[in-house]
Formats: sequence, structure tokens, C-alpha cells
Amino acid sequence: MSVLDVKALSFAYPNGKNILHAIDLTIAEGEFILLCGPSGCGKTTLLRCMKAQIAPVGTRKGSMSDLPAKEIGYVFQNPENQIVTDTVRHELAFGLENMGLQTETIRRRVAETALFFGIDEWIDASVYEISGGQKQLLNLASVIAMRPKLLLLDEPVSQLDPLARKNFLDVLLRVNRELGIAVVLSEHHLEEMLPLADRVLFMEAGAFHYEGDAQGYVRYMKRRRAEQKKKLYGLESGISAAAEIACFWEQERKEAKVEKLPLTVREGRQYLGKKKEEGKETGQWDQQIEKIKERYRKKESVKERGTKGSRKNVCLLIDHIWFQYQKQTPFVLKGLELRIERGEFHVILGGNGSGKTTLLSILGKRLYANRGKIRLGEDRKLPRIALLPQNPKAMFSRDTVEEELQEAGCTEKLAESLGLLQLLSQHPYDLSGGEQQRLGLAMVLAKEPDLLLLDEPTKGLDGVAKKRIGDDLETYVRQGHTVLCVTHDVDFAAAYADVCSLLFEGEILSTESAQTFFEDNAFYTTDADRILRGI
Amino acid sequence: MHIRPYTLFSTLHPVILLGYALGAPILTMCMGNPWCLLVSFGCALVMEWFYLGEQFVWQGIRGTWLLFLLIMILNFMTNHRGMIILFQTRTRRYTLESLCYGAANGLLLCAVIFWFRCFSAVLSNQKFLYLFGRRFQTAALLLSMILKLFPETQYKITQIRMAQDDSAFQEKEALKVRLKKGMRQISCLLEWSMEDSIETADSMKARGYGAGRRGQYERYHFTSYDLGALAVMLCLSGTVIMGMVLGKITFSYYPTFTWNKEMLVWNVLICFCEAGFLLMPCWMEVIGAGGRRR
Amino acid sequence: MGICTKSIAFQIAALLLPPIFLAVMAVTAYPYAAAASIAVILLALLPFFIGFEQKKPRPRDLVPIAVMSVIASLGRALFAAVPNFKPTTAIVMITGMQFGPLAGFLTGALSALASNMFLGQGPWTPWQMYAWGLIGFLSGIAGQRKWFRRSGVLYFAGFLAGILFDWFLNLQYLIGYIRPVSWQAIVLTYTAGLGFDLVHGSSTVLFLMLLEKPWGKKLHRLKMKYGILSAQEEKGEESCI
Repeated sequence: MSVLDVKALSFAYPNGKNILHAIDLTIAEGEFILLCGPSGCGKTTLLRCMKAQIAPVGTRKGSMSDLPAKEIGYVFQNPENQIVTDTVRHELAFGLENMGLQTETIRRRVAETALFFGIDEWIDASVYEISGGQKQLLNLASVIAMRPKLLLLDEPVSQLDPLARKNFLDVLLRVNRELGIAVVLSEHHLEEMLPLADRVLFMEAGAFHYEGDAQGYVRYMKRRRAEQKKKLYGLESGISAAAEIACFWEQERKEAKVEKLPLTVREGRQYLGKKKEEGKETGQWDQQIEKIKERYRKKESVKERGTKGSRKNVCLLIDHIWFQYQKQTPFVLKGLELRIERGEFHVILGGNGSGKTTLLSILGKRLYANRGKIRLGEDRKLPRIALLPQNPKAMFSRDTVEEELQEAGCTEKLAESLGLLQLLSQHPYDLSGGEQQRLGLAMVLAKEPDLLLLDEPTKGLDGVAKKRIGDDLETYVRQGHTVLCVTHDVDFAAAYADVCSLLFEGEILSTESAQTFFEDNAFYTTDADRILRGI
Repeated sequence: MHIRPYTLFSTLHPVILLGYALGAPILTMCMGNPWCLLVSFGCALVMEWFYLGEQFVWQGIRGTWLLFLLIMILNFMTNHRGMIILFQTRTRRYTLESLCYGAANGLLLCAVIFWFRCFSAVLSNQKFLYLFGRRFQTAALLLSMILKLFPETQYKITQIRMAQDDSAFQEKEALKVRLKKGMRQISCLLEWSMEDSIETADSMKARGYGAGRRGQYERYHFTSYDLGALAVMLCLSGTVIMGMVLGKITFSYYPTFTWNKEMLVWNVLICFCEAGFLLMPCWMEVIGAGGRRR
Repeated sequence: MGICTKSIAFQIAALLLPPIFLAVMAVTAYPYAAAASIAVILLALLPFFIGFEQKKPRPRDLVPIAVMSVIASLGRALFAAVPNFKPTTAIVMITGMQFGPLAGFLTGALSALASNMFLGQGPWTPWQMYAWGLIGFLSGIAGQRKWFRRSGVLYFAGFLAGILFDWFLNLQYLIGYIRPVSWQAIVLTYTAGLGFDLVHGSSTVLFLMLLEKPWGKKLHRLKMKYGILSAQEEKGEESCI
């Protein structure tokens, strides 16, 4: 039995741009569908077309079985923006109130939902007191409280940090498995989700290019990337590290027989374990595994980093700074010590509330340390410093990209190198997330800062956009500038950093070259390193 | 913000809380008798201490003494009725009566301000929205949306300042430049908030807003306990109002201070009732605690 | 359209109510003026909220009001350095002009109410609600009738709005706490605050000069992109919200 049938759905915006081309989709009862594809391929439009109240304006053809709109739940991308009211309790009740239910029914359903999601502990909180992950859980819960049969989620975890993302997906899985609600999840980082999905849909340019199970999807991606002559691994691969490694293995060995590919870290290690035993007999194991490890090798920084205390080649030397926001609150930074050298791509990794953003604000002179000093390099010259905030929207105030760039004093060459020239006449808010980030980058780079500070530059971006911004930053570093970037994104750090530091509870616990950093960490590292560790 | 959010008084039905939160300042505003006014002012201080703490009392006094002086002086300077002349210029005289009258009115204003400061401690925003939302559903929802947007927008403002303010690296800027930056920032805020709010609107639609009559989550039962509390409140405040209407506590400043001296008993009784009404959250707490011990 | 005109007439009548009553109270030195004036003002606010409920506004009509109210009250934080230098009045006016009289009224009234939920309520809350609401409402009407097509008129109106807002709020002290209201009292009160009033008036003009054009453009774009109020425009109806 199907929940929703979509037949030959086409959609065009009023400006005549065709977004969807004859989409056929049948969603079975309780099915878990993963919808993936590059940004701008029409994922959001498709999801919105399925939910009548928020269907975009334009011409649509094709048919859709009628499912009352209230039986379809929709979760949006941004956790903050979808919240309507000011307390958790009322947010949970909002949809139920709209249904015009009796007070008793509303209260019972709110209680029930809160207990299922474990929201009961913070149900009395104001919505601004809870974290982004909790906000997204609340959004999911308030939709589930209306008891939908089908749940549509539009990149619900792209704005969350890795831990909150895993937590959200776990809960989502429970919703699917325990309540039997069908789920269509659109997402661009779907490594974790692949093993769980009943069906994977790959969409490009408004049509499905692949439809089937996860195994087939990995094979499809492998073939597709070979056709496009692109490397299989890296930020834009779109498949999990385990599957990548298995694909390499097959490629190197030219194995003809088709095996089940590993999808998770655990399966990846099991797979390699098996191959190791097989390889011992043929004696080719060592050579093969070295080849694979070589692919995941991080950038090895060429130069030696200076020793503690010396000012040679130093851009800024952070000397035991302490910082607190208010006298009544604990210190956010506690004797933080960090050496930023010239011409390095320095990434600081750390969890929520570890003081990452505070550190950047102090370096950008928006805040001032209570204790400690920021010392200059050998030449005692203050470097030009610029800060790119987490959300580039905080920088935009003009009506077109061109005006924005002009005001920032950005040269045409810079705009061209960041690929902004074809966007000049657009409004900054009509750009995609990656384009907005690049526009923000162009605006800060216009001043040609010696030290560029970045706060979570990859938040909410898909692999392609991440790679683009990473490449741009790398170019900038190669021109002799310094980049300091704080992020949650381990894969991004692994791909681009020269030097990595771990920030925890307001202290820098280690600063090492990227290769050593990720090899030494057992948990706080990339999936590929987890799989290859000790093998 | 308030130090005692969970008093026994707060368990009463929101209608009663609203009655108290509005009743106290309105009763004070109608107060002509200086003794009653002093009682009200004293009670306001006590309630402020009870709900908001000592710091807030001092803060409130610091915030209002100037207003008190202003009202007093304005009345004193512009009003020359009265018998007891303090000093005289060629064209007009300045009297003790008008000074006292001004002081009383200044005190009245301060008392009213103090009562309003307790307003949101007595009637929390959620309860206010409940009452308001019974009749004005859409407006109450709008208010709730505004309350949600406040901290979010504050966060956006800090983000925008963080992103755009590079004054630390520049020489001191001219006023014109700073103003221009301010305008740029507020334009940025407008656009950002508006774009985000469009998604809020979609989320409202996706959850079926506007489909028909809305239900209501909040529910407060009006029990016999509430009825009892209401009766006590009405008795106490009714006595005060009766006294005022019947002229038992009339006090006039002009031509000179006069009040009904035979009515001293009335005066004491009314002041007592007034304090009883105004201090209700306080004494309910005391008595409630005694009840538990028994 | 008929209903619209009728309700606007009704609302204008409601807006005229408080000044008349306040004048009567001032002249007769009514002893309970402080309480009575608040009651009268609350009564005058009522028809607008009732009218708003009856309109059954859509989500996309609601959110701009919420956002504009918040910006109007928080915008002060960005310019807190100069006392009484606030964009609130200008923002309320722009909202009225862009989204119509009722939206202007609600933005004004609710931004006063909501900001006082944080800053602390006072006897001035209803007065502020009324004054800012009125400013929003009148700018809405002026916007519809295109009275502000010449920017000189707009700036003059903004200056007047800023000054009259302060003057109106002074009234609550004058009527409620100073008796009898003699001309000396009036002169003293108003000269004492004149500097602040002028700052408010001229800051409003300044904000209108700098914000009216670019914001009009931005809000227009949003209206086009997301169809805020588009249903009414399609029907060729005068927008009431």
C-alpha cells in the first residue's frame, strides 16, 4: 500500500525555468527514502510540491494521489526559523491548536510527544534557551504531534554540529521504525544514513538518475564519477569512506566478482580484515594498503614549526589569554595558548561551547581578553586581520552582488577567481549557501588581510561547495597569507589544514600537523582514518 | 528575572492575577488620601522586594526620585492656592499646601511605576498571552512571535556588529561615517530578519495555520479556592472603594489641609484593608506555610 | 472595499476619542484622570484588535508585522549612544506606508507592548501603544493616498510625528499628576523636554531620509518574491492589513 503516489510531475517557475521533469515516485507505507543530489537539483521544489500548503508558485503538470495535507509533516532546514512561538510547550501545541482540537486532546498529545522525544525535561524552557539540535528536535516533535502519515524533511541536519546531527538522525530513525511513519529525507551528507535507507533516490537537474538500494547507489556513484573523470574520494564523493576504500580495493585488484560493499566504519574494518587474510596468501596486501593509505594522506606541512616562545615566522602569538563574558559567568577561555605562523592554513577543531567563536572575536578585536596578551611576530607589525562570520548574511545590506562587491572594494580579478562574475546582477539572498559564502569571502578578501579568520565556513554547504571554498582558501594561503579557521567539520579540516589544534573547554590541548593530528586521534578524526587505523 | 516565580499566589487563576496586577496601580491612581498613598507606596516597595529582590528596589528608587522631584516642583511652581505661605515674590506666592500636594502626586506616580514593575512578575508573559489570546487569538500569537523574535534578533544584531564593525582597526571615525555604518547594519538586520521570517510563515502554513478556528493549549481551572481568594480580594478592595466613594477618607489640600478627624477609625480600617489587598501575595505565602506545618 | 472604508472610518473615530477625553479631563481637573486616561486609551485600542481578528490574516501578513515590531524596538540598541535618538518612529511609519494602516497600527502598538515586556511595563505602556499605533495608522493612510510622494512632506510628517509622540507622552504626567493644569505648568513641562523632543523629531527625519528609499525597495522585493499581500493586490482591493 502506498502513502503517496506522484505521477509525471513537472514543475516550472513563473519565469519559465523548468525545475522538475516528469517525476514518478511511489512512497510505500513506512518507507525510509533518502533523496540526494547536488544543490539546485530540485530536491526542495519536489518536497514542497508534495506538501500542498507550501507548494511553490508556478505551473505544475502531472498528478498526485490525495493525501490530506495535514497528514504530511514537513521539517525545514533552518532550526530557528521554523519555530513560531516563544516557548517549547506552545511550539509543540501550535500545530494541534491549528487543527482546532479540544484542549484536553491537545494537552494529552503534547505530553505524549514530549515523552516520546525526551523533550519533557526542557518543555518549560524558552526557545532561545535551547541549543540548535534541540530546536530541530522540537520542530520534528511538533510535526509528529500532528500524527502525519508521511514526513518530508528538507536537509534538516545541515545546520547542526556533528553530534546533534547524529542525535537527530537517531530520533528520526525511531520515528520511522517505532511509529511506522514514512520518511523522505533530503540530505547531502548522507554517509551515516545510507545503511538505514530503504531506498535512495539520486536527483539531478530535476529528474531521478538513480533509484534503488544503498549498494546500488554506491556502485552508481562510482561509475558516475569514473565517467566524469573525477576522483572517487574527497569532500564531494557523496559516499561513505568505507565504500570508497572498498571501491579502491576492487579497482586496484581489478576484481571482477561483485561483492556487498561495506557502508559503515565497522563494515569497512571487517572488509579490510578479510582482505588482509586473503592478501597474505597472494602477498600483495602491503603494497595495496599502502596505495590506499596514500590517498588519504593529509597535507604534510613543508616547514618546521617554531618552538614555543620564539617569534620567528610568527603571525600572532596568543599568550595565555583568559576571557569571560560577565563577572558572574565562568571563564570561556582559560589560559589559552596558541601560535599562529605565517602562511599556514590553521584549523581549530572543537565542540560546542568550547570557546571557538570567542577566540575568533578576540583575535578580530571585537572582544578583549581579561588577562593575557596577543603578541606580534618578529617585525612587531600588527597584521591586517579580517573576520568572516559564521553566517555571511550578517554582511549583506545591498540589493545586488555587484553593489556589495563595489562597496567592499573588491577587484574584478578577485570576483572572477571566486566565480562571482556571473552572479553580479543577483540579489545576495537569492544565491545558494555556497555562493553566499563565496560572496562573503570576496568581501573580506577585498581588504587583502594578512590573517583571515573564518567561523564555520562549511556550515550547511554540500560537498561541492565545500570543496570550492576550500580550494579558494588554499589558493589564498599559497599566496603567502595566513588562514585561521574554526570548525566542527573534521573532513574539511583533514582535506585542507596544514596545522590542526584541538580546543576543549577554553584551552588548546594539542597543535600538530594535520597528518599527526588525525592519526593520533582515535575518535575525533575522519571515517577513513578510523577504518585504516592500525591496519 | 524574578526571585519568587512559584508563589502560592501564582497558582491562582490568571484572571485573578490580572485583577491584582491591574487593580493595585489603578486603586493607587485613584487615591487622594496621603495616608492611603503612603501605605500603597510602602506596599509597592515590599512587593517589589518580594518579587524582584532588594537590588530592584534600589534601582527603582534611583530611577524614580527625579520624576518625583519634577512633579513636586512643577505643582509647587505653577499652583499658588493654599493658606500657609512659604515665600512670596511680587506676582505670586508659594504655599506649603501646593508643595505637599505636589509631593503626594509625585509619590502617586512613583507608586504606580513600582506597581507596574511588578506586573510581569505577578502575571507572567505566558499567562498574559493566555488571557489576551482568549479574545484576541491572532494578536496573542503575534505577540508570542514577537517575544520569540526578540532574543533571536538580539543575537543577529551582535552577529552583524561582529561582522561589520572593524572600528578597532581604524582611527576614530567621524560621526557621519559611524552613522552610515549604523544605517548599513540596520538595513542588514531588516533584510536578514525578513528573509528568515518568510520561512517562519511557511512553517506556520505547513502546520495548518489559518485552516479554521484554533484550539487552545492553556487551561486554567477556576476552583473554589480561586473563588475564595477572589472573594477576599473583592472584600478588601471593595471596602477601600466604598470608603472612597462615601467620602470617608476624603482629604483636601486647599484652601488648607482638611480631613474628617472623626473618621479616624475609618481611616485606619481602610488603610488596613488596602494593605491587606496589596500585600496579598505576601501574606498568602506566610499563611500557606503555616498551614503546611499544622 | 465598502467594509474597508467603513471600518477605517470607525477606527478613525476610535483614534479621535482619547484626545477629546483627555482635553475634557484637563479642563475640568478631573481627580481620577490618571486612571481614567489609561482606560480611555485602552478602549480606543480595542477596535483595532477586533478588526485585526476579523481580518483572519495569513501567515505571510503576520510575520512582517512581527519582524518590524521587533526591529522597531531593538533598533534603538544600535543607536543607544545618543539619548532619545531612536529609529522606532521612522520604522513604524515605513511599515505603515508599505503594509497599510492596520499593519502600521499593530506594529506600533505591539512594539511598545512587547518591548515593555522586557524593559518593564509602566503606566506609559498604553500611551505608547496608542501613540505609535496612531503614527503607524496615519502613515498607512497617507501611504495609500500617496500623500508622501514628495519626500519633503514625508520628512515634515516624520519630524512632527517624533515631536508629537513625546508631547503626547508628556500629557500623561500633565493630566494625571499635575493639578490644575495651568498654562505655566504646560510651558514648564514642554520646555523642559524640548531638547529631547527635537532629537526625537530630527532623528526620525534622519532615519526616514536614509532608510525610506532603500527599505521601500527591499520590502517591495520581498513582497514580489514571496507574495506578501499579493492576494489583495490581485483583487484590486485596498489592502487593509
